Amino acid sequence: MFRSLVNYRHLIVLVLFTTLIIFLLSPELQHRPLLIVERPAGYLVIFFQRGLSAVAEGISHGWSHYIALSRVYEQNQRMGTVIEQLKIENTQLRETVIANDRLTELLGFKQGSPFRMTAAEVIGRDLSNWYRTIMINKGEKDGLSSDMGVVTPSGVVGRIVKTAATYSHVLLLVDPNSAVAALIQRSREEGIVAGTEKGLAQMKYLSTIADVEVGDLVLTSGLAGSFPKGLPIGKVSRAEKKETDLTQQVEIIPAVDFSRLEEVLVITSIPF
Amino acid sequence: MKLIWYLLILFFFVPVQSLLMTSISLNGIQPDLGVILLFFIGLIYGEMDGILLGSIIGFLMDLFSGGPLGANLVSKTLIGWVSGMIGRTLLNVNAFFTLGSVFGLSLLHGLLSFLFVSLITGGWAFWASVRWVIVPEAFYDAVLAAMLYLLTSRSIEAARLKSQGLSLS
Repeated sequence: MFRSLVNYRHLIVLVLFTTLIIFLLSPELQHRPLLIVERPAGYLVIFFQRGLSAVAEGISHGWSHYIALSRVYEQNQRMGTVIEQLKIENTQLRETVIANDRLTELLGFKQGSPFRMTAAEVIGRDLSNWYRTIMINKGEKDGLSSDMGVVTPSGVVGRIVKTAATYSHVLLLVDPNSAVAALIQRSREEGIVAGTEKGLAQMKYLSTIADVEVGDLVLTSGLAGSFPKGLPIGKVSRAEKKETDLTQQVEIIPAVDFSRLEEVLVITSIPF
Repeated sequence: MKLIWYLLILFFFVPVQSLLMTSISLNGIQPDLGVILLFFIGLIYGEMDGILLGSIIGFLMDLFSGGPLGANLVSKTLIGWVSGMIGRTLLNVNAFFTLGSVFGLSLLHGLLSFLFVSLITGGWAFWASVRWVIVPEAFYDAVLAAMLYLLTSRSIEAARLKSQGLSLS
């Protein structure tokens, strides 16, 4: 009896794990997944994430410096070093100018908006291919909570789905689970913008008689809570009507380039 | 030594997956370092280590992902278990075997993830998921794992024999 149990010990461990996992899947834990573990684990991993990000940047700089120096003759070494340093300084200055432009645009957008916003930096992307999310460096301590809208001066980014004390997860507009109430600017036709499996966006629930043309600008309609009315979502890139379908298939090119997001603004309150 | 490796995985897995793997993504698909790591750990140390590390990696991925708790926890634990069984059953491993095994494991992982995502949040269509996520990710994981095997095959074989109480002559 005991020997047969020992023979199946791996299976027993797996069954025990699966039982534990089923327990973990309870709605209460889904709502707030294991707060006791999440907080300390979050602090530790975020600490390493920030450290690794800084180290990666340092290594990248060091590597390019070494490659450049190894190709320089000994007598020109000092001159080469100076040139390299100047190049790095120049790159850094250009980077500062670009960052300055970006932040000025962000600040201008923030100050010119009638709603309250908090600026945040993007510190990571989703670990799996099943959720298109980004991680930002602001959380509950900064007054952020789930369902708050996230934007850039270009347009809608997504909404917050998970928050911790010092960071939050933002579900991007191109995720299939995302849903933003939208309207076509020209014809005022209303629908819902959601993501697709391909990583694009589509406008759903537009009837076959709805007036939609390629190039139409899509804006937020302000009907759902996360976004005020009139923020750009994207442009219609394809509109297809099939006789057998009840709705049109409308593909949208998002106004925001999600692969180049560095800073975002979280809408913390919308005036009604 | 094993403990040090496990601690390194524990602390650096999330930053590496989040920063490095996303930077080498192709057409929006990033490789899953968890599946690749679990294949090698299962291969070297067997089912128990595979299950243990699979559940830890899965839990970390769920905590630091925008999705619900459970999808990675379950799929990664199972992947660790299957990898351990593969490691215990087979004697000779090569790059082609690694390629095929990781492709199969990644497909299994993708299908399990789809099941969980569909059950909890929905939003994904099956064939579109297979075409745009599951198969491309499996290819990517398999190629990366085979390359990693080619680079470290001697160390992997030595560690495998050591864990079974043998040594390379």
